[in-house]
Amino acid sequence: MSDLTTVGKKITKRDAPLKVTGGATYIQDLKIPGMLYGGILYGQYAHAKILKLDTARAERLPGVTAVITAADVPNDFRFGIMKDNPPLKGGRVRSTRDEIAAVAATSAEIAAAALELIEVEYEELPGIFDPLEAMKEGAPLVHEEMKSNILKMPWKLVCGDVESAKKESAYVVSDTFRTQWVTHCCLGTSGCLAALDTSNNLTMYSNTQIPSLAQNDYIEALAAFGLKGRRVRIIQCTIGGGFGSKLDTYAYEYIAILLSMKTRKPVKFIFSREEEFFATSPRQCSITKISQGCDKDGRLTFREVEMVLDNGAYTSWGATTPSVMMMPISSLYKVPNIKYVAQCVYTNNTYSQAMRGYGNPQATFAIESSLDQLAEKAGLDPYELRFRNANEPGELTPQNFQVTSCGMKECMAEVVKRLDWKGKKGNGNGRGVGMASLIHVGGGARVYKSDGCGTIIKMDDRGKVDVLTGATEIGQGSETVIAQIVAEVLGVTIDDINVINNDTDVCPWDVGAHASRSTFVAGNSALGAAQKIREKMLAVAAQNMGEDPASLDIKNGVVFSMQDKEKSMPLSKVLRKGHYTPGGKMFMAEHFYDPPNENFDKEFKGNLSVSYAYGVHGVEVEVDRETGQVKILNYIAAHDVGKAINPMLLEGQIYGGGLMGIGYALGETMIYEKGHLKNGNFLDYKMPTAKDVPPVQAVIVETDEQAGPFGAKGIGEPGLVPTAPAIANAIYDAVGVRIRELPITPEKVLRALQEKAQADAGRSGA
Amino acid sequence: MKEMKRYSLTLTVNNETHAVVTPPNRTLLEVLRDDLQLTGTKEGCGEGACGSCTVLVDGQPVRSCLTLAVAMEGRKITTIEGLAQGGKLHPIQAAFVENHAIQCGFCGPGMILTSQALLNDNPTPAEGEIRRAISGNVCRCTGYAKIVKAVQSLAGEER
Amino acid sequence: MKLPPFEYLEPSTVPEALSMLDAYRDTVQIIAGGTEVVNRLKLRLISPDYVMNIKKLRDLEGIVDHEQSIIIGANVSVNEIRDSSLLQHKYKAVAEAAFQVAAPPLANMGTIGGNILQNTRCQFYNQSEIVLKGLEVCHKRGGAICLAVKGGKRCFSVYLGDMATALIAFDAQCVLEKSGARRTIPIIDLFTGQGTQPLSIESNELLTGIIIPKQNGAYGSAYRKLRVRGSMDYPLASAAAFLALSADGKIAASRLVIGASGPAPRIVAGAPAALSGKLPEDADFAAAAEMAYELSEGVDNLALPGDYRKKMVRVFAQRALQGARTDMKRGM
Ligand SMILES: Cc1cc2nc3c(=O)[nH]c(=O)nc-3n(C[C@H](O)[C@H](O)[C@H](O)COP(=O)(O)OP(=O)(O)OC[C@H]3O[C@@H](n4cnc5c(N)ncnc54)[C@H](O)[C@@H]3O)c2cc1C
Ligand code: SF4
Ligand code: FES
Ligand code: FES
Repeated sequence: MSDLTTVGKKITKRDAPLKVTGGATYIQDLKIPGMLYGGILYGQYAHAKILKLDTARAERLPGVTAVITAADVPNDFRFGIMKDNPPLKGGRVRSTRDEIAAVAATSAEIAAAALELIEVEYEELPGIFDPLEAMKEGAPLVHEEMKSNILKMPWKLVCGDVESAKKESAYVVSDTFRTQWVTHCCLGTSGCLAALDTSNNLTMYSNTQIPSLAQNDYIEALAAFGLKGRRVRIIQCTIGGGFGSKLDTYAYEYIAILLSMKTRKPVKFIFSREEEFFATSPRQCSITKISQGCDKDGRLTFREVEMVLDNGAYTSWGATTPSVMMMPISSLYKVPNIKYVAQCVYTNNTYSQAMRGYGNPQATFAIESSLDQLAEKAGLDPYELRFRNANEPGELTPQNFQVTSCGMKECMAEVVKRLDWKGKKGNGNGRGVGMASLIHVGGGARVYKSDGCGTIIKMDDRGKVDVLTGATEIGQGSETVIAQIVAEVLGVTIDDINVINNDTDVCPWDVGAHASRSTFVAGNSALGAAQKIREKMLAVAAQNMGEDPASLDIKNGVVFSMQDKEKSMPLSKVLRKGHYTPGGKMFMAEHFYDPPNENFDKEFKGNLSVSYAYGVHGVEVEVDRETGQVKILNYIAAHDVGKAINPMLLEGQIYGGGLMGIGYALGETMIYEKGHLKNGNFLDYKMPTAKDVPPVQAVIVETDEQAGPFGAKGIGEPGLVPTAPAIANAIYDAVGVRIRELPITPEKVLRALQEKAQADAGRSGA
Repeated sequence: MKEMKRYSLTLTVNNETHAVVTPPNRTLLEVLRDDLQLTGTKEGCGEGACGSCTVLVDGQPVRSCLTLAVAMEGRKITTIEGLAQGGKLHPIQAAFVENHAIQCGFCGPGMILTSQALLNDNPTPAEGEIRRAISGNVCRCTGYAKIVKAVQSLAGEER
Repeated sequence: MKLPPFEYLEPSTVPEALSMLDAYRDTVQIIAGGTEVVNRLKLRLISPDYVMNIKKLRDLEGIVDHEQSIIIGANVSVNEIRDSSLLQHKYKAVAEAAFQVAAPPLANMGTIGGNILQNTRCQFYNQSEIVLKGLEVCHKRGGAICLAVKGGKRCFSVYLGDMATALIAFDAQCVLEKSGARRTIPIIDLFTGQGTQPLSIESNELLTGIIIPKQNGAYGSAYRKLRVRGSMDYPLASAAAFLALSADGKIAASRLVIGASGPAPRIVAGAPAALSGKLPEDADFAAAAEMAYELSEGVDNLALPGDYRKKMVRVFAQRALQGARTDMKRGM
């Protein structure tokens, strides 16, 4: 495959020219004649009874077209995976983001003014904000109709025999680690525009990452609202960032539908930055108890993990992140015996969602921090311990993951070399190095019954190609990667390809832009469709050229004989031959690719993904002992990507993911006080700026994944997975303090340094 | 709602003059987007903390979400729509495309204008100067690496 | 977020501005660069009837080098101060403070006047209406409780301006004008120390300029600031130091000022006595920094916990003194 013309090249992003000129239409920019502006009234308290809700004054305000409350939601409709979330809450609010009323008006100003005129009286109730408290017998119930705050989602994975392995281990460490809420901070806030036509078919302009599943959600909602069997069309605008935030449907979308039903007009919602902070769902925060052991040679013997996740008041994908956490817990390094249990607990906090990495960063923080502790106890260099236990190709992990390609050791070698690990490690001079690895799904992830994606390709008379794909572009570059794959197979240039990926009326089905699956699954789907069309074209060309199709190839829009390059025919001519010959042919093909991966069985075992992505991050830090501030001096992010279809886009994912990981590690946190978010703005929520970027080297390790399109695996999420533990480990190496709770703020580091100084003094005094 | 006096303004945007009638409590961002339909300028926060709304006023980067439109009479405003000429990308736009400095693109217009203002003042910025100049513009997607590279690719070129 | 309704005033001369201020006393809000006040308007922390733009007042511009002092117009942008070679050389703390204000584009819009006259901040106060609605009404919003300090009888909101702290280290003055009157007061006197009403400027007064007295002999200054991110962030602890030496190399005069540690920048009153007559050495600096620590009130109402910020005032006071010492060497 050395003579690839498009795949493997630094092709610029297809939609970039439109974006750099300000011409891309984000949901913010969309206007439709006659549209109304929506606004939502949120409850004032984290937990309260609504005694009175009077909308009369709001309704009388000129320009207000409709005001709705829970009473306007038919059939007690609820959404979310546990169907525990009504789009408008009546009777009781359970978190400060609870929607209790909504308006549609002729301008955004009027909508805002109307919300101020709605009168609400509450009786505040005691809230429960600590998941450990909420688990206790007799704790106040978040949902009074349920018996317990603990969700009926028994996450449990057992492989081998942890108890005996523990006894036989030469070294064992146990500790507890905590992670915080962080939020996606997509620069483009959430929004939608719902429009019902006269036959009650819905068109939803949306930012969703899951068009096909969202379509299904809306169809169900319409049915519940009394509109059975209607059509739903989803048109995606240019999306101002995804990172998992758009992987579920939200209350405001159902509210927009209800308001559009009531007003018979298109209704648009755009979140303000404040709303985006407190009314969208962050990454799940976690409390993780972990024990790991190894034998006297440093071979891992077991890993035992218990986790408590704060579910918030309602349930979205955040509650299912343990399904992904299982992956690193069972399969990051070779560990024969595994036990993992996780509980999700209702509280009066905000509810969580998917976010880049989907639970993996939380689990990896605990695993990789604990591994360094184990290495110390066993008297091994942490690198040595990791290398001895590193994953390898061909391995079957305890959770029944079939490892195909695996470049973990190569990545580790890159990190050790580029960081000068041996020279820098253990100097104890305020500077130190740390590393951490990752495993992530790299060949889809069968979390639904299907993990499929469809592609339709059609060609015109002149060799121009329309690719209709189910894969959503959220900035990651799937559109470009798909175009490259198709261009390569069809032998045309990248500029001949037009990718259509934003309209469910024409685009085929796809389960969504999640699990880093776009390149692998959508790429394979596009590859399949392109191959079908290629065959059709070669057949027609062969007929006209008097050649065997097998002896023909296409490059730069010309079909030629591989034996005799002089014998050729422009592709456009081949296409016209097909179209203009009596009884002619149309050049169109569809392909549905559903990877041969497995759903978990009842014990949560099975080959979740066709391939797994690996990576190792290494970091050198300097710690200011007076302030506790951590400075990153050098950062190596080595990733096994299978094959880089577009090295430039890939690096973009690694740099972007890496910086998000650094934010997660060192600064970002949502500070809640009794359910109220205290820092819901870009000043107080510390998203890194260009001056907070350390020197990052992205190292791409190619392992050529047989099942991937041109050897590629997914890489959308992994960039941020091992960042936090790598930094925490480097801090330990630098100054000897272990930070067990993210984010690693200077205050925590300083406190740990002072505690250590006291302990050291106590010891030397004794 | 209080009745406010409306002001007739003449705004010079991208070398064109526009007559705008507006109450005084509107930001330049609102007028650009809602009255002049120049939606390339984005609102990421509305509170001065992200830089998505950056436009150039007399060549200097300004946050349009914190600027009153009524105060802009007689100033020369450049938005992202004003960079490309005759269907050809401006060099800074081309550099952002070539270097993959754009992912979701929402930060792009503000980032590009801020970068161009830097290059106008200082045609040969060092990496640190670039980072500092764009440090008031947040980007969630790129990790800034490719943005810095895009600006560097023009640093020192004769223009 | 939308701005609340108001009428717009745009004087073109200082006298015109002063008469407008007089006419609409208590109902008019001045806007200079707007980088602070627009957010306060959007959050509905204030809702004036009139907003008066002073950016057209040419008299408030320019940095002028006089014999006894330097005069900075109130409308001079923070970036101009950062870039002024005069200030960089002779008043390093002031230039260093300007270098660290917000981020370059904001410091391009923001004026020195607006920077000095910004209000205090608190995470229970600088919030959107939606969030504030769910919180009890605290002192600063006209209530009778403090959300940051349980049982707090007063407001502990924090003054986060960078420039005032640095200017006070030079004992800078400011000129306040109103119709028919003009007063020049030390900048430190602009601050009441009260979180609810942190500034003493009257509602019909206009700040027109800043006067920094000239220094002679060997002296140095520095400004140090703790922030979480390398850009954009307000200080979480800050300190400015000024040191002047006598011919024998001993400290003849000094001033240590701390910021971000309460409703006003504070002069560490005991520092001159602790340092005077001594060689500029770390041990004595530490004693002065300890006083700074005592003076600061770290309250849990900003991005990092209060007790940590209080400790950092000590560290940054020490570093500012060390920085002033380095600056002095450069000057000699
Ligand atoms: C994201 C962000 C980060 C920031 N970070 C910092 C920071 O790190 N450090 C910092 O110090 N500030 C910071 N600020 C605040 C602000 O940007 C600066 O303080 C700026 O210098 C204020 O100047 P301005 O001209 O924009 O003030 P304006 O907003 O115009 O005015 C501020 C106040 O001063 C009054 N005022 C202005 N001029 C006069 C005058 N001549 N006479 C009487 N009253 C007057 C106004 O009425 C108003 O009350 C930040 C702001 C933002 C949005
Ligand atoms: S310190 Fe207390 S009184 Fe002052 S603004 Fe904050 S919460 Fe209100
Ligand atoms: S929208 Fe103006 S700075 Fe964020
Ligand atoms: S490209 Fe998405 S925010 Fe910068």
